[in-house]
Amino acid sequence: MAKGAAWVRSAEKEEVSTGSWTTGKRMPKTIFPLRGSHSYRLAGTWTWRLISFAVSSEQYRVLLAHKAEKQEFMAMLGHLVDRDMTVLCRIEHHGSHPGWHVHYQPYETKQSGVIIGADARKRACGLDSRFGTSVVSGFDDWAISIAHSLFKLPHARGSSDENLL
Amino acid sequence: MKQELCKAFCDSVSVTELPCGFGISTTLFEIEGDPAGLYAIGPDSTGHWKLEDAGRLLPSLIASGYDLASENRKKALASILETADAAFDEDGLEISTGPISKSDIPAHAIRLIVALVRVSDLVQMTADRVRSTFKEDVRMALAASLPSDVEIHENAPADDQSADLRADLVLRQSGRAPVALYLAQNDLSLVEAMLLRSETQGAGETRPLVTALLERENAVSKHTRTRAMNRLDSVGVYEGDERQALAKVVQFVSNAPKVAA
Repeated sequence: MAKGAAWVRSAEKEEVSTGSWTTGKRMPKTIFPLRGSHSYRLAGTWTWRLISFAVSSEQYRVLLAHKAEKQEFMAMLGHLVDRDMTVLCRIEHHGSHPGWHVHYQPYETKQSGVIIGADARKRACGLDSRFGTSVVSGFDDWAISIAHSLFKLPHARGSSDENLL
Repeated sequence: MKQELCKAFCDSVSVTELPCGFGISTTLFEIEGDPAGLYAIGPDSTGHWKLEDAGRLLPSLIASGYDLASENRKKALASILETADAAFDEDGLEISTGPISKSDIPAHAIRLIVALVRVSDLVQMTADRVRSTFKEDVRMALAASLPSDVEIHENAPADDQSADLRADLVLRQSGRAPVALYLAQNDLSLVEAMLLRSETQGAGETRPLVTALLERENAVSKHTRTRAMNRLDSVGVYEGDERQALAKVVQFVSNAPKVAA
């Protein structure tokens, strides 16, 4: 069974690979597979980017996605075994209501192959200065900076389209 | 009372100015606990607005197994959205209304929010159905394969002394020890199986045989799987070798120790 998001966050990452920001076309099925032929695929109206890394030979993926004009942001962490993904957590911001929050699956009952676990829980991220309250411009840079901070990935250099390592 | 209701409904409504127009959230909640929200986009060059979701719902719905290529599914989704004069865009995977005037936003927003909550429920229902296929598949296959005198009890106790420990399936054949079968999709199920095995250890020849069928090899932690393999009477893995996994259960039931009927 997959470890929890907190464990992954604190673990030493290897083989970190960061894709480019992509927009205007639907996410390919191979980016964030869930189970069997099912994948999580955002439409081209989103701007998204995939970061993959390994912890002790276990494979993990972080899908970053945002819609700056709606102030929508998501960083989804998944543990991938073959084509079977266990989504450990989704850190989100919605422009429709205030407050950063995390949806996560508790350790004992993590479901693989689904975005929404049967026992998924939610909690607010609290007053964390990393998140800020309003980000209208520079969303790409800001989003990746947040994601690297959240998951303790090697820090971004700031450019949205270059390899961050 | 009306004032109190209005206050309860309206206190949690929030409107936030955004680059696209306005973000609106309400007192209703989506399945994961987020306030149901939408966006008022506009005004366009003609002064009109449209209401739109965030664009998360449909990707989640499709990922849960809801196939939009199916005409029936497409119609079902459309019928929910029609209640709010809304439709979905198959390319953009967004739900939106047509152009409306600014003064019409509140009335349309309420109807669209209700429709979005219904779609959100659909995501969970679809995911639940996908998850439950494993147990249903096994139950049906065993019903077709086991001898007709084997009774199949769902979510039932295998032993009167441990009535609170309920197995997914209890297979009873007259004159033989019952078989408690746990259809394991997570660690908890296997832990419960091991508890039943432990609690019934001293029951002698009438003790139930405790077995587990894992949905997939990695459905449970390696540690729990190892413990289960060393403690339960039988453990199998379903996905990837379904026929043999079921045959093993059938054979196990047939070979259960004989007991006084």
